[in-house]
Amino acid sequence: MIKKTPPMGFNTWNTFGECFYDHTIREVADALVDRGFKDAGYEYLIIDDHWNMEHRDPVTKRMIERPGKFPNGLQPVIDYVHGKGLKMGIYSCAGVRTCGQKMGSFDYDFLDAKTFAEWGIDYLKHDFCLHPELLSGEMMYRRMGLALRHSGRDILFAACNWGNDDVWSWIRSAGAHTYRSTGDIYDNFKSFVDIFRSQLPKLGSSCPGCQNDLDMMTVGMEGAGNAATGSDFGTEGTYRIQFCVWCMFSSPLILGCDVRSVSDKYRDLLCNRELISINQDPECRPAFPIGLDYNMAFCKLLSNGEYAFLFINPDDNQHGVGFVTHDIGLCEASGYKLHLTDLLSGEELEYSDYVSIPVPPKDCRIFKGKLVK
Amino acid sequence: MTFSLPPLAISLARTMGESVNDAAVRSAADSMVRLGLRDAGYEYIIISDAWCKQKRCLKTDSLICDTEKFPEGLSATAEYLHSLGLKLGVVASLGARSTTDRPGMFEHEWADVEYLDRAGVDYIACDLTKLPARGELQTPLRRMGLAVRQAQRDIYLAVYTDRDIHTWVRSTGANAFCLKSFYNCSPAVECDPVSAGYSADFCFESCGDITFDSTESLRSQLTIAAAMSSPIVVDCDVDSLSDEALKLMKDPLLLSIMRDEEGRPARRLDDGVYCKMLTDCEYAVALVNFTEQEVTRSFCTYDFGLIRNSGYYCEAANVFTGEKTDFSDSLEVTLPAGSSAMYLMRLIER
Repeated sequence: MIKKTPPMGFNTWNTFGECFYDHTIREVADALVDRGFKDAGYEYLIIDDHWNMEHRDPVTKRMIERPGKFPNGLQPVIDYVHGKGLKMGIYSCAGVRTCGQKMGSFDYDFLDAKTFAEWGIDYLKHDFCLHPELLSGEMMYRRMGLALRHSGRDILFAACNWGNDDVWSWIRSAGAHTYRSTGDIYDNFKSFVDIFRSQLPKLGSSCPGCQNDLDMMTVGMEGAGNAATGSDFGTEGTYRIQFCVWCMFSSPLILGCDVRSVSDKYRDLLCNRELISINQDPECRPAFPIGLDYNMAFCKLLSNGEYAFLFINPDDNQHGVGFVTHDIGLCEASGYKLHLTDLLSGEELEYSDYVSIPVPPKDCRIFKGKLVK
Repeated sequence: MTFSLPPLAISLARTMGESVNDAAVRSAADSMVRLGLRDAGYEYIIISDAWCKQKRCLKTDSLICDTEKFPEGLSATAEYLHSLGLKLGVVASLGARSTTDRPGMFEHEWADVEYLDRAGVDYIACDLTKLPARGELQTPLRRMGLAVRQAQRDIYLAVYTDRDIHTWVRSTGANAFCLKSFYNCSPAVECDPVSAGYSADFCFESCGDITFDSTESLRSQLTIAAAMSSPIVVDCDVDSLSDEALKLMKDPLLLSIMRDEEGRPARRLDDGVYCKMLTDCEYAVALVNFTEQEVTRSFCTYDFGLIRNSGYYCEAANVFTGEKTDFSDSLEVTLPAGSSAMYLMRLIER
């Protein structure tokens, strides 16, 4: 399956954990459509761990959905999701068991891939718990990559081995479309900052067809849900930083908040077309750090000849975040100046040698730029 | 946006060197059309920077075209190539001077790109010859990347260096990067699997320019280039290409492997054994022997990810001979020194 841009969708884990049911998924599907998420590009509805039983069907060896969650089976739910114009995602594990100790796909890759294909699955998140320690991790993902290719359906392969086994060096060759390189995200500022900082040396690894997945977003969770850690969930500013970083770094955009009830202001942020266009840029060039406060300002070359700029202020006081234009290759000899448009406020600014953007505390500002004479 | 596939090119840089001139480039272009190379997808003719004089204009600091070699300027040559549906490329140094002791583009990137843009040049292959000792690497590359983006023409930017740039070179806007090349080593070096992970649509890792003294050597280099989705740049005298060499260079199956739409990198499964996932459930298996003795290479299905209970076996067709073979555990191929084999493989359900 050829999918070059980062996938966009929703995953049950951050909000629901193991507590999702037939009706939950239908309500989420309705919300994705009714609240404008689908129109903005969020198309995959992914159910995470705990959808299946601790054993396989004794005769067919297939995975079985939990009747307690899906009394009429999983198929009607999948059909409902498709009926809303969405795509269905599911979860498995390279190990013998999932992290929630349900059946994993080890040694059953080809059967499970075929099963998922028959059910109409469009996306597989493939976790890494409880796998044989002696075997090569790479091999397990290679197998599922092959299995999905031969399943009979286009299924996006979202690997999740948390950065083990030098995953960046082989994951694209194994057929994955996205891959998780860190432990799980939680709904607080430190969690997502740690995640994105850990991936700064790997900015060059995302590319068309295979992106480094910074994990499902916590934007808009506001301390409610499975991944919440209490009242330290942060502010509008820190959620804005998260979304802007996910967009700049070409990470898959997988919603983790409860889309049925997330506030309109976060819905609007998450559906901002200009920000999404930075994420979905076809060339998927890596962002690179610029600036006087290293790693707080980033630039990304966009395919239409424009540039994206992100300025982050992680501190508790307002200050300027800046860079010298020479560091992006713009010097006086070029005859060009940099013209910036703030994508959230609309403010327009022009600079020739030094850019300093005032950024409120624990917040960010994001721009598109072009070179003008 | 225009460069989502690795390009095919003929280079005259080493073959002609200092003796490059307008008539020779036009003649090479005519030959490329006549011999079917253009129709097979070879788009660029790349020349060394011997097109320009050894000093810049003292007044304007601009590059000066050597009118003894290019009487009507580089733009006339470019125009002729364009009229044939071909494109012109030049080699340049991002340092202070080039390998031919001509002006390097260091601190002149914007002006020189503008010059080349106006002259109708479509491809710039830069190396880092004589980068100032106190100069660093990112700034000239970023200036170059921006300057190329602002050009009127779509200019393909290739960077040749042995420095570690692969983790960030794509962020500069470059379209190809070459860390190790066939030309640097003898026998040809095997491509680094780690940096191949950074090769991507719009910026491919190149295996370096191909030069060859035997058909077998050409076949091996083309095989590796196709497996690695590397741009193919063959440095040669087009008129001296043998029928066999031409056939190899135009092999449609090989080129379709190289330019596969999905653009996934190959994975080095073992010494001299590469496998690449292609679109539509096909796989390219390249077995190469760059040593000086005969060896047997083994492509093992387990290493590829095919487990015993998958219900599939492999059917592989030799890309060059068409010979088919099927196997479920491994494909063993004995290769004479300096030779290679490329297979197009499918999985067949039992």
